[in-house]
Amino acid sequence: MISGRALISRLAPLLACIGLLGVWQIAALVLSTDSFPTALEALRAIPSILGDRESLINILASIRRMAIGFGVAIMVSIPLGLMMGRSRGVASFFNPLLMVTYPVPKAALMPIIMLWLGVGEVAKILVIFLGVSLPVIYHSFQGAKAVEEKMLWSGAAMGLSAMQRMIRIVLPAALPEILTGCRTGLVLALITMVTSEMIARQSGAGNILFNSLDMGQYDTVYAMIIIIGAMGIGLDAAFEKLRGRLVRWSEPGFDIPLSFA
Amino acid sequence: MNARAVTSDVLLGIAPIALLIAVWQAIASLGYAPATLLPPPGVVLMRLAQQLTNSTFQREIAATLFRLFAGFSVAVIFGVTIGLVAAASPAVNAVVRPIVRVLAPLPKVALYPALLLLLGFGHESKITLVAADALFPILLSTYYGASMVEQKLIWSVRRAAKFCSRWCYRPRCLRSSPVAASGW
Repeated sequence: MISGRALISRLAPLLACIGLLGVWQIAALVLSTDSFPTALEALRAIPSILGDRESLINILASIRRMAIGFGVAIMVSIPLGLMMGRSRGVASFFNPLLMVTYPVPKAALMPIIMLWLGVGEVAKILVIFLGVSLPVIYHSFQGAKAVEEKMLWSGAAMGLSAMQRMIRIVLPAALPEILTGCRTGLVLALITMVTSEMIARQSGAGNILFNSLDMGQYDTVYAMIIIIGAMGIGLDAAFEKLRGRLVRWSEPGFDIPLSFA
Repeated sequence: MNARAVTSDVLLGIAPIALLIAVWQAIASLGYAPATLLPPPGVVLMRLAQQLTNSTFQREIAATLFRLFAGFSVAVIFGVTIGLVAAASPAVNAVVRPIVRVLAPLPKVALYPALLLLLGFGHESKITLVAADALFPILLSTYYGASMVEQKLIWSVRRAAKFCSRWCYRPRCLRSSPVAASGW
Protein backbone atom coordinates (compact mmCIF):
# COMPACT_ATOMS: atom_id res chain seq x y z
CA MET A 1 0.00 0.00 0.00
CA ILE A 2 1.40 3.36 -0.96
CA SER A 3 1.04 6.08 1.60
CA GLY A 4 -0.71 9.32 0.65
CA ARG A 5 2.50 11.28 0.79
CA ALA A 6 4.38 8.92 -1.52
CA LEU A 7 1.44 8.92 -3.90
CA ILE A 8 1.48 12.72 -4.07
CA SER A 9 5.22 12.84 -4.69
CA ARG A 10 4.85 10.25 -7.44
CA LEU A 11 2.00 12.13 -9.06
CA ALA A 12 3.70 15.52 -8.66
CA PRO A 13 5.14 15.71 -12.21
CA LEU A 14 1.72 14.80 -13.61
CA LEU A 15 0.07 17.46 -11.46
CA ALA A 16 2.69 19.93 -12.68
CA CYS A 17 1.81 19.10 -16.30
CA ILE A 18 -1.89 19.58 -15.62
CA GLY A 19 -1.15 22.82 -13.80
CA LEU A 20 0.93 24.18 -16.68
CA LEU A 21 -1.76 23.25 -19.19
CA GLY A 22 -4.28 24.96 -16.91
CA VAL A 23 -2.20 28.16 -16.84
CA TRP A 24 -1.98 27.99 -20.64
CA GLN A 25 -5.76 27.51 -20.92
CA ILE A 26 -6.48 30.54 -18.75
CA ALA A 27 -3.87 32.70 -20.51
CA ALA A 28 -5.32 31.78 -23.91
CA LEU A 29 -8.86 32.54 -22.75
CA VAL A 30 -7.75 35.93 -21.37
CA LEU A 31 -5.73 36.93 -24.45
CA SER A 32 -8.16 35.30 -26.91
CA THR A 33 -6.19 35.90 -30.12
CA ASP A 34 -6.19 33.69 -33.22
CA SER A 35 -2.51 32.88 -32.89
CA PHE A 36 -2.84 31.50 -29.37
CA PRO A 37 -5.31 28.59 -29.19
CA THR A 38 -6.32 27.23 -25.81
CA ALA A 39 -4.65 24.15 -24.37
CA LEU A 40 -7.77 22.09 -25.02
CA GLU A 41 -7.85 23.06 -28.70
CA ALA A 42 -4.17 22.13 -29.06
CA LEU A 43 -4.71 18.81 -27.29
CA ARG A 44 -7.66 18.11 -29.57
CA ALA A 45 -5.43 18.58 -32.63
CA ILE A 46 -2.97 15.88 -31.49
CA PRO A 47 -4.99 12.77 -32.55
CA SER A 48 -5.40 14.09 -36.09
CA ILE A 49 -1.62 14.61 -36.38
CA LEU A 50 -0.74 11.22 -34.96
CA GLY A 51 -3.46 9.60 -37.07
CA ASP A 52 -2.14 11.14 -40.27
CA ARG A 53 0.19 8.75 -42.12
CA GLU A 54 2.37 11.48 -43.58
CA SER A 55 3.12 13.21 -40.30
CA LEU A 56 3.55 9.94 -38.44
CA ILE A 57 6.24 8.95 -40.96
CA ASN A 58 7.87 12.34 -40.41
CA ILE A 59 7.91 11.96 -36.65
CA LEU A 60 9.23 8.40 -36.83
CA ALA A 61 11.98 9.56 -39.21
CA SER A 62 12.98 12.16 -36.62
CA ILE A 63 13.11 9.58 -33.86
CA ARG A 64 15.17 7.25 -36.06
CA ARG A 65 17.75 9.97 -36.79
CA MET A 66 17.91 10.85 -33.14
CA ALA A 67 18.40 7.22 -32.11
CA ILE A 68 21.19 6.67 -34.66
CA GLY A 69 22.98 9.92 -33.76
CA PHE A 70 22.67 9.21 -30.05
CA GLY A 71 23.73 5.57 -30.38
CA VAL A 72 26.83 6.29 -32.46
CA ALA A 73 27.79 9.19 -30.19
CA ILE A 74 27.60 6.99 -27.10
CA MET A 75 29.61 4.20 -28.68
CA VAL A 76 32.40 6.62 -29.59
CA SER A 77 32.28 8.93 -26.57
CA ILE A 78 32.23 6.49 -23.67
CA PRO A 79 35.45 4.62 -24.65
CA LEU A 80 37.14 7.93 -25.50
CA GLY A 81 36.09 9.52 -22.21
CA LEU A 82 37.20 6.49 -20.20
CA MET A 83 40.59 6.44 -21.90
CA MET A 84 41.00 10.15 -21.28
CA GLY A 85 40.19 9.57 -17.62
CA ARG A 86 42.81 6.84 -17.21
CA SER A 87 45.64 8.10 -19.35
CA ARG A 88 47.19 11.49 -18.90
CA GLY A 89 48.61 11.51 -22.40
CA VAL A 90 45.23 10.85 -24.03
CA ALA A 91 43.63 13.48 -21.79
CA SER A 92 46.12 16.20 -22.63
CA PHE A 93 45.86 15.32 -26.32
CA PHE A 94 42.08 15.68 -26.53
CA ASN A 95 41.25 18.20 -23.78
CA PRO A 96 42.20 21.43 -25.60
CA LEU A 97 40.43 20.30 -28.78
CA LEU A 98 37.26 19.52 -26.80
CA MET A 99 37.56 22.81 -24.90
CA VAL A 100 37.66 24.68 -28.21
CA THR A 101 34.70 22.81 -29.69
CA TYR A 102 32.57 22.75 -26.52
CA PRO A 103 31.18 26.31 -26.69
CA VAL A 104 30.44 26.11 -30.43
CA PRO A 105 26.68 25.78 -30.89
CA LYS A 106 26.42 22.59 -32.92
CA ALA A 107 23.37 23.81 -34.82
CA ALA A 108 25.48 26.72 -36.14
CA LEU A 109 27.57 24.14 -38.01
CA MET A 110 24.46 22.94 -39.81
CA PRO A 111 24.83 25.27 -42.84
CA ILE A 112 28.42 24.11 -43.50
CA ILE A 113 27.53 20.47 -43.02
CA MET A 114 24.56 20.88 -45.36
CA LEU A 115 26.91 22.38 -47.94
CA TRP A 116 29.10 19.29 -47.81
CA LEU A 117 26.65 16.49 -47.17
CA GLY A 118 23.36 17.85 -48.49
CA VAL A 119 20.13 18.27 -46.56
CA GLY A 120 19.53 14.54 -46.10
CA GLU A 121 19.84 12.12 -43.24
CA VAL A 122 23.62 12.10 -42.89
CA ALA A 123 23.93 15.84 -42.20
CA LYS A 124 21.30 15.76 -39.46
CA ILE A 125 22.66 12.62 -37.86
CA LEU A 126 26.14 14.17 -37.83
CA VAL A 127 24.88 17.30 -36.05
CA ILE A 128 23.04 15.18 -33.46
CA PHE A 129 26.21 13.12 -33.02
CA LEU A 130 28.27 16.26 -32.39
CA GLY A 131 25.71 17.62 -29.94
CA VAL A 132 25.54 14.42 -27.90
CA SER A 133 29.23 13.45 -27.79
CA LEU A 134 30.66 16.33 -25.77
CA PRO A 135 28.64 15.90 -22.56
CA VAL A 136 29.03 12.11 -22.72
CA ILE A 137 32.81 12.40 -23.19
CA TYR A 138 33.04 14.92 -20.37
CA HIS A 139 31.07 12.82 -17.88
CA SER A 140 32.86 9.57 -18.81
CA PHE A 141 36.16 11.40 -18.37
CA GLN A 142 35.18 12.69 -14.91
CA GLY A 143 33.83 9.27 -13.92
CA ALA A 144 36.96 7.41 -15.01
CA LYS A 145 39.23 9.95 -13.33
CA ALA A 146 37.51 9.42 -9.97
CA VAL A 147 38.05 5.63 -9.89
CA GLU A 148 39.99 4.58 -6.82
CA GLU A 149 43.59 3.71 -7.64
CA LYS A 150 43.65 0.90 -5.10
CA MET A 151 40.98 -1.02 -6.99
CA LEU A 152 43.05 -0.81 -10.15
CA TRP A 153 46.17 -1.91 -8.31
CA SER A 154 44.44 -4.93 -6.84
CA GLY A 155 43.01 -5.71 -10.26
CA ALA A 156 46.50 -5.58 -11.74
CA ALA A 157 47.85 -7.71 -8.90
CA MET A 158 45.19 -10.31 -9.64
CA GLY A 159 46.43 -10.49 -13.19
CA LEU A 160 43.88 -8.42 -15.10
CA SER A 161 45.20 -6.89 -18.30
CA ALA A 162 44.79 -3.18 -18.98
CA MET A 163 41.81 -3.86 -21.21
CA GLN A 164 40.15 -6.11 -18.63
CA ARG A 165 40.71 -3.51 -15.91
CA MET A 166 39.03 -0.93 -18.12
CA ILE A 167 35.95 -3.06 -18.69
CA ARG A 168 35.62 -4.75 -15.30
CA ILE A 169 36.71 -1.97 -12.95
CA VAL A 170 36.68 1.45 -14.60
CA LEU A 171 33.47 1.05 -16.60
CA PRO A 172 31.23 -0.09 -13.71
CA ALA A 173 32.78 2.42 -11.31
CA ALA A 174 32.22 5.28 -13.73
CA LEU A 175 28.78 4.09 -14.81
CA PRO A 176 26.69 6.45 -12.64
CA GLU A 177 28.60 9.44 -13.98
CA ILE A 178 28.44 8.11 -17.57
CA LEU A 179 24.68 7.72 -17.31
CA THR A 180 24.34 11.30 -16.07
CA GLY A 181 26.16 12.34 -19.23
CA CYS A 182 23.90 10.15 -21.36
CA ARG A 183 20.82 11.70 -19.81
CA THR A 184 22.02 15.19 -20.69
CA GLY A 185 22.98 13.87 -24.13
CA LEU A 186 19.51 12.44 -24.69
CA VAL A 187 17.84 15.81 -24.19
CA LEU A 188 20.53 17.48 -26.31
CA ALA A 189 19.84 14.94 -29.06
CA LEU A 190 16.20 16.01 -29.09
CA ILE A 191 17.15 19.70 -29.14
CA THR A 192 19.63 19.31 -32.01
CA MET A 193 17.13 17.13 -33.85
CA VAL A 194 14.50 19.88 -33.80
CA THR A 195 17.04 22.59 -34.63
CA SER A 196 18.53 20.66 -37.54
CA GLU A 197 15.07 20.07 -38.98
CA MET A 198 14.27 23.73 -38.54
CA ILE A 199 17.34 24.69 -40.60
CA ALA A 200 17.11 21.93 -43.22
CA ARG A 201 13.38 21.54 -43.68
CA GLN A 202 12.86 18.33 -45.51
CA SER A 203 11.19 15.89 -43.17
CA GLY A 204 10.70 15.34 -39.49
CA ALA A 205 8.87 16.66 -36.46
CA GLY A 206 10.65 20.02 -36.59
CA ASN A 207 9.66 20.30 -40.23
CA ILE A 208 5.95 19.89 -39.41
CA LEU A 209 6.31 22.38 -36.57
CA PHE A 210 7.85 25.21 -38.60
CA ASN A 211 5.90 24.53 -41.79
CA SER A 212 2.60 24.73 -39.97
CA LEU A 213 3.81 28.02 -38.48
CA ASP A 214 4.46 29.36 -41.99
CA MET A 215 1.07 28.17 -43.19
CA GLY A 216 -0.73 29.67 -40.23
CA GLN A 217 -2.11 26.37 -38.89
CA TYR A 218 -1.80 27.50 -35.31
CA ASP A 219 -3.42 24.56 -33.58
CA THR A 220 -0.99 22.21 -35.37
CA VAL A 221 1.93 24.39 -34.18
CA TYR A 222 0.86 24.10 -30.56
CA ALA A 223 -0.05 20.42 -30.87
CA MET A 224 3.46 19.71 -32.23
CA ILE A 225 4.96 21.65 -29.33
CA ILE A 226 3.06 19.39 -26.95
CA ILE A 227 4.18 16.27 -28.86
CA ILE A 228 7.86 17.28 -28.91
CA GLY A 229 7.69 18.38 -25.28
CA ALA A 230 6.11 15.07 -24.31
CA MET A 231 8.89 13.25 -26.17
CA GLY A 232 11.48 15.13 -24.10
CA ILE A 233 9.74 14.52 -20.80
CA GLY A 234 8.96 10.89 -21.65
CA LEU A 235 12.47 10.03 -22.84
CA ASP A 236 13.98 11.66 -19.78
CA ALA A 237 11.64 9.81 -17.40
CA ALA A 238 12.27 6.48 -19.19
CA PHE A 239 16.01 6.98 -19.04
CA GLU A 240 15.81 7.82 -15.36
CA LYS A 241 13.98 4.53 -14.77
CA LEU A 242 16.67 2.64 -16.68
CA ARG A 243 19.42 4.44 -14.79
CA GLY A 244 17.81 3.51 -11.49
CA ARG A 245 17.88 -0.15 -12.55
CA LEU A 246 21.45 -0.16 -13.81
CA VAL A 247 23.07 1.65 -10.90
CA ARG A 248 20.76 0.87 -8.02
CA TRP A 249 23.80 0.73 -5.75
CA SER A 250 24.70 4.33 -6.32
CA GLU A 251 22.66 7.07 -4.71
CA PRO A 252 22.09 9.78 -7.31
CA GLY A 253 23.66 13.05 -6.21
CA PHE A 254 21.16 15.21 -8.04
CA ASP A 255 17.94 13.91 -9.46
CA ILE A 256 17.92 16.39 -12.32
CA PRO A 257 21.15 16.84 -14.29
CA LEU A 258 22.52 20.36 -14.20
CA SER A 259 23.44 20.85 -17.79
CA PHE A 260 20.39 20.83 -20.01
CA ALA A 261 22.14 23.19 -22.34
CA MET B 1 53.96 18.45 -11.64
CA ASN B 2 57.12 19.98 -13.03
CA ALA B 3 57.34 22.65 -15.67
CA ARG B 4 58.60 20.23 -18.27
CA ALA B 5 55.58 17.93 -17.99
CA VAL B 6 53.28 20.94 -18.29
CA THR B 7 55.04 22.10 -21.45
CA SER B 8 54.78 18.66 -23.02
CA ASP B 9 51.07 18.56 -22.08
CA VAL B 10 50.51 21.90 -23.77
CA LEU B 11 52.38 20.76 -26.88
CA LEU B 12 50.41 17.52 -26.96
CA GLY B 13 47.19 19.50 -26.68
CA ILE B 14 48.07 21.92 -29.44
CA ALA B 15 48.97 19.03 -31.76
CA PRO B 16 45.43 17.93 -32.77
CA ILE B 17 44.29 21.52 -33.34
CA ALA B 18 47.35 22.29 -35.46
CA LEU B 19 46.87 19.01 -37.30
CA LEU B 20 43.27 19.89 -38.06
CA ILE B 21 44.23 23.27 -39.52
CA ALA B 22 47.07 21.66 -41.49
CA VAL B 23 44.71 19.06 -42.99
CA TRP B 24 42.23 21.83 -43.83
CA GLN B 25 44.98 23.82 -45.56
CA ALA B 26 46.24 20.73 -47.38
CA ILE B 27 42.81 19.77 -48.68
CA ALA B 28 42.24 23.29 -49.91
CA SER B 29 45.65 23.86 -51.51
CA LEU B 30 45.98 20.41 -53.07
CA GLY B 31 42.63 20.97 -54.74
CA TYR B 32 40.73 18.02 -53.24
CA ALA B 33 37.79 20.30 -52.51
CA PRO B 34 36.61 23.26 -54.60
CA ALA B 35 37.31 26.61 -52.94
CA THR B 36 33.59 27.39 -52.81
CA LEU B 37 32.97 24.38 -50.56
CA LEU B 38 36.08 24.69 -48.42
CA PRO B 39 38.07 27.94 -48.66
CA PRO B 40 41.58 27.70 -47.15
CA PRO B 41 41.95 28.86 -43.50
CA GLY B 42 43.91 31.99 -44.47
CA VAL B 43 41.11 33.22 -46.71
CA VAL B 44 38.53 32.58 -44.00
CA LEU B 45 40.59 34.52 -41.43
CA MET B 46 41.10 37.45 -43.83
CA ARG B 47 37.39 37.52 -44.52
CA LEU B 48 36.66 37.54 -40.79
CA ALA B 49 39.03 40.47 -40.23
CA GLN B 50 37.41 42.32 -43.11
CA GLN B 51 33.89 41.64 -41.78
CA LEU B 52 34.78 42.85 -38.30
CA THR B 53 35.41 46.35 -39.67
CA ASN B 54 32.16 46.31 -41.64
CA SER B 55 29.44 48.36 -39.92
CA THR B 56 26.53 46.16 -41.04
CA PHE B 57 28.30 43.12 -39.65
CA GLN B 58 29.01 44.96 -36.41
CA ARG B 59 25.34 45.89 -36.06
CA GLU B 60 24.27 42.28 -36.53
CA ILE B 61 26.76 41.04 -33.97
CA ALA B 62 25.69 43.78 -31.56
CA ALA B 63 22.05 42.70 -31.89
CA THR B 64 23.03 39.08 -31.17
CA LEU B 65 25.12 40.03 -28.16
CA PHE B 66 22.35 42.25 -26.82
CA ARG B 67 19.84 39.38 -27.02
CA LEU B 68 22.34 37.02 -25.48
CA PHE B 69 23.11 39.19 -22.46
CA ALA B 70 19.53 40.36 -21.97
CA GLY B 71 18.25 36.77 -21.97
CA PHE B 72 21.10 35.62 -19.77
CA SER B 73 20.49 38.39 -17.21
CA VAL B 74 16.81 37.54 -17.01
CA ALA B 75 17.75 33.87 -16.52
CA VAL B 76 20.27 34.72 -13.78
CA ILE B 77 17.78 36.90 -11.89
CA PHE B 78 14.97 34.34 -12.01
CA GLY B 79 17.19 31.27 -11.70
CA VAL B 80 19.11 32.45 -8.65
CA THR B 81 15.99 33.82 -6.91
CA ILE B 82 13.83 30.75 -7.49
CA GLY B 83 16.73 28.40 -6.70
CA LEU B 84 17.47 30.11 -3.37
CA VAL B 85 13.84 30.35 -2.31
CA ALA B 86 13.21 26.70 -3.25
CA ALA B 87 16.21 25.62 -1.18
CA ALA B 88 15.09 27.70 1.81
CA SER B 89 11.41 26.86 1.87
CA PRO B 90 10.06 23.30 1.70
CA ALA B 91 6.65 24.56 0.58
CA VAL B 92 8.07 26.43 -2.41
CA ASN B 93 10.31 23.46 -3.12
CA ALA B 94 7.33 21.11 -3.28
CA VAL B 95 5.76 23.29 -5.96
CA VAL B 96 8.88 24.24 -7.93
CA ARG B 97 10.46 20.80 -8.04
CA PRO B 98 7.87 18.95 -10.14
CA ILE B 99 7.49 21.94 -12.47
CA VAL B 100 11.24 22.05 -13.04
CA ARG B 101 11.32 18.30 -13.56
CA VAL B 102 8.78 18.65 -16.33
CA LEU B 103 10.14 21.81 -17.95
CA ALA B 104 13.90 21.14 -17.76
CA PRO B 105 13.99 18.22 -20.25
CA LEU B 106 11.57 19.97 -22.62
CA PRO B 107 13.45 21.11 -25.74
CA LYS B 108 13.09 24.90 -25.63
CA VAL B 109 13.58 25.39 -29.40
CA ALA B 110 10.22 23.71 -29.89
CA LEU B 111 8.67 26.65 -28.01
CA TYR B 112 10.13 29.13 -30.48
CA PRO B 113 7.16 29.09 -32.92
CA ALA B 114 4.83 29.83 -30.01
CA LEU B 115 7.09 32.66 -28.85
CA LEU B 116 7.13 34.06 -32.40
CA LEU B 117 3.35 34.02 -32.51
CA LEU B 118 2.95 35.59 -29.08
CA LEU B 119 5.82 38.09 -28.99
CA GLY B 120 6.52 38.82 -32.64
CA PHE B 121 9.70 38.63 -34.69
CA GLY B 122 11.61 41.30 -32.74
CA HIS B 123 13.97 41.07 -29.79
CA GLU B 124 11.32 39.88 -27.32
CA SER B 125 10.78 36.37 -28.65
CA LYS B 126 14.51 35.71 -29.02
CA ILE B 127 15.40 37.06 -25.59
CA THR B 128 12.67 34.91 -24.05
CA LEU B 129 14.06 31.82 -25.77
CA VAL B 130 17.58 32.57 -24.50
CA ALA B 131 16.23 33.12 -20.99
CA ALA B 132 14.21 29.89 -21.10
CA ASP B 133 17.24 27.91 -22.24
CA ALA B 134 19.62 29.41 -19.69
CA LEU B 135 17.18 29.40 -16.77
CA PHE B 136 17.22 25.73 -15.77
CA PRO B 137 20.98 25.09 -15.49
CA ILE B 138 21.30 28.26 -13.38
CA LEU B 139 18.27 27.45 -11.25
CA LEU B 140 19.36 23.87 -10.60
CA SER B 141 22.97 24.78 -9.77
CA THR B 142 21.79 27.48 -7.37
CA TYR B 143 19.34 25.10 -5.77
CA TYR B 144 21.84 22.29 -5.30
CA GLY B 145 24.50 24.72 -4.12
CA ALA B 146 22.15 26.25 -1.57
CA SER B 147 20.90 22.86 -0.35
CA MET B 148 24.46 21.84 0.45
CA VAL B 149 24.93 24.71 2.92
CA GLU B 150 25.31 23.28 6.39
CA GLN B 151 22.18 23.64 8.46
CA LYS B 152 24.26 24.71 11.48
CA LEU B 153 25.46 27.82 9.72
CA ILE B 154 21.90 28.85 8.99
CA TRP B 155 20.79 28.22 12.58
CA SER B 156 23.64 30.21 14.04
CA VAL B 157 23.08 33.19 11.77
CA ARG B 158 19.35 33.04 12.41
CA ARG B 159 20.03 33.16 16.11
CA ALA B 160 22.54 35.95 15.81
CA ALA B 161 20.11 38.09 13.87
CA LYS B 162 16.70 36.86 14.73
CA PHE B 163 15.05 40.23 14.30
CA CYS B 164 15.80 40.40 10.70
CA SER B 165 14.79 37.24 8.90
CA ARG B 166 16.28 38.27 5.59
CA TRP B 167 19.76 37.64 6.93
CA CYS B 168 19.15 33.96 6.86
CA TYR B 169 19.75 34.14 3.13
CA ARG B 170 23.19 35.54 3.62
CA PRO B 171 25.24 32.39 4.28
CA ARG B 172 23.23 30.57 1.65
CA CYS B 173 24.05 33.18 -0.95
CA LEU B 174 27.73 33.23 -0.13
CA ARG B 175 28.16 29.51 0.28
CA SER B 176 26.19 28.58 -2.80
CA SER B 177 27.90 31.03 -5.09
CA PRO B 178 30.68 28.72 -6.37
CA VAL B 179 28.21 25.98 -7.24
CA ALA B 180 25.70 28.43 -8.66
CA ALA B 181 28.38 29.96 -10.83
CA SER B 182 29.11 26.57 -12.38
CA GLY B 183 25.68 26.66 -13.96
CA TRP B 184 26.42 29.93 -15.70
